[in-house]
Amino acid sequence: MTNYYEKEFETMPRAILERLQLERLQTLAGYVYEKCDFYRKKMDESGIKPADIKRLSDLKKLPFTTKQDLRDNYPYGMFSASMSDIVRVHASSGTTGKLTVAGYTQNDIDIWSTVMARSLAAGGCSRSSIINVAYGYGLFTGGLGAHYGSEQLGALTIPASSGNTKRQLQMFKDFKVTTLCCTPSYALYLADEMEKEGYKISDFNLEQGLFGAEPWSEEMRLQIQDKLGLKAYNIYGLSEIIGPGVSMECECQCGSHIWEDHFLPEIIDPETLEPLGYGKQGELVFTTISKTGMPLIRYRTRDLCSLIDEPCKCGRTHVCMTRIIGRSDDMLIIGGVNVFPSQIESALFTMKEIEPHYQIIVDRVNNLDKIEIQVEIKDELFSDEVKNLQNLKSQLEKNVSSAISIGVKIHFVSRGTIERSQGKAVRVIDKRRI
Amino acid sequence: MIKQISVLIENESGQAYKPIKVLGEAGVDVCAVSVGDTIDFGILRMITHDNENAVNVLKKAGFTVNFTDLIGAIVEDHPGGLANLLAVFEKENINIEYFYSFIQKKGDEAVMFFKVEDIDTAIEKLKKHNVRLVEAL
Repeated sequence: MTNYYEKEFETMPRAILERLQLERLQTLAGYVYEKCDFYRKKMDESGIKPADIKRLSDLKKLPFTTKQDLRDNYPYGMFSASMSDIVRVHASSGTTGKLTVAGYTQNDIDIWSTVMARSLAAGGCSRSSIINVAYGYGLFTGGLGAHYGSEQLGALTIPASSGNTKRQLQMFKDFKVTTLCCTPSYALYLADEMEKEGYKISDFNLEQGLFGAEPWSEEMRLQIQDKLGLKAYNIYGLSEIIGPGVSMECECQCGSHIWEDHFLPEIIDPETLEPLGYGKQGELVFTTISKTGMPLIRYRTRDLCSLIDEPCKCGRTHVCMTRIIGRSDDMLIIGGVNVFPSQIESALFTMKEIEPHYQIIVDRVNNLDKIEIQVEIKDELFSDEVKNLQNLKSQLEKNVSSAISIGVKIHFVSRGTIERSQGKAVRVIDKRRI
Repeated sequence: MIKQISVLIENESGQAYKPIKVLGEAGVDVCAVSVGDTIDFGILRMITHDNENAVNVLKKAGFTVNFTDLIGAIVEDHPGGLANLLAVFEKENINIEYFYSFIQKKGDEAVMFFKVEDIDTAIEKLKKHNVRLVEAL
């Protein structure tokens, strides 16, 4: 028996779903054209009027939106709703030190809670579930997104947030937690701590976990399932679109259903920007067709995946996406935080002692992400005194850490250690086996 | 003034051996060595008889290398010899960053190398006290 939250929408026949999508897309085009200067200007430039959207395939006539557009219009320029209707903002870190801001109306919070409730139901949760939300609460969408969805579903919701691992494990046992929501790396960390603290799987009532906010693999899924004794589900989302709950696996685990009555997906070739068909790998693009606060048209996620054109055995008609296999830009997701190598580079080069050769090494030690940056020092500025080099090292660590909001370790290496490349320099070595 | 060569090394086994081996193969005689170390990097400091050649081969081998001027001062090789010399630094308020020694094969004198903040002023002050300075090895 498949566990639905909104069966009518989740199993809607394709023809009716597509009619609903078209209606919503047409309404959206008119709405943003009227309300948002940014979109009106952009649509005028591309010579398209809301009335030109006559069928779903006309979507490709609309211009793309990028993360850069969000930065350029920081903080509120992308909002379509009037400020008095915005009830919440979330934000993620960006390359320029400016946050990427997302604004929500009450309508958007309700949609988010609903798609998150659907996601929890797809993972087998119900009103009788006891859901421990161990995503961070705050500007990051993970914590509050899962929280509102869990309450919307009617489950018992524990706002544990991340960290304080010993207490989390105690709560698993005492509160009889059935469901864990967190990043996959934190799930593995919890599993290791569980072993250290002497807990056994049989001490817990864990049934399922919804893991997301960073890329992970089938191998990690098996490890998490084995160590925590639960069924591990992949959940996907991004704050610009709404947060967690944009797509979610069902019990078949043959990809993640994108809640298509709210988020219209496309796959494009990141070079030519041409839409690609089902089964083709490319960049995932979303149009939010029901949000009112900060609706986005053809937003380029930079995440690479493909869409699966096969009806799912679970009965849901919403299309599935594969796991994210990479990015079409160089963004790294480290411990759930977005990091661009260019942020690290500009923080390094505030110090004149540094050669323009550096390498960022990302690794996962005890299931936690670590960054080490190898830098070469200029001969003429290389000091013979330990204290000068140590000062330089701690100054660099401070500069970079504050630029990306994550602690880093600087490692001095001899000139020429970092491989010189003929073409594009290899700036990042990601040793994490994801 | 004595020219010192400093080389950046990583704090891992074999890291001090590499530059020394390069110098040996190039026929450079290393006469004094000192290491400043931390948990993850070290600075190998050396005085050689052929600095130009030493720096060339080290750079060619990919090391981060720099020169520093040190004061070379002669100290009598008997108890209290070094104390007498350091008393002058103390009296003249010359701050020493680090120092190390080089013992000659013959005679009863050793040479100490000092890194100080302001080398020219320090040399003048030391000369006033008739400290015997070494210009070259």
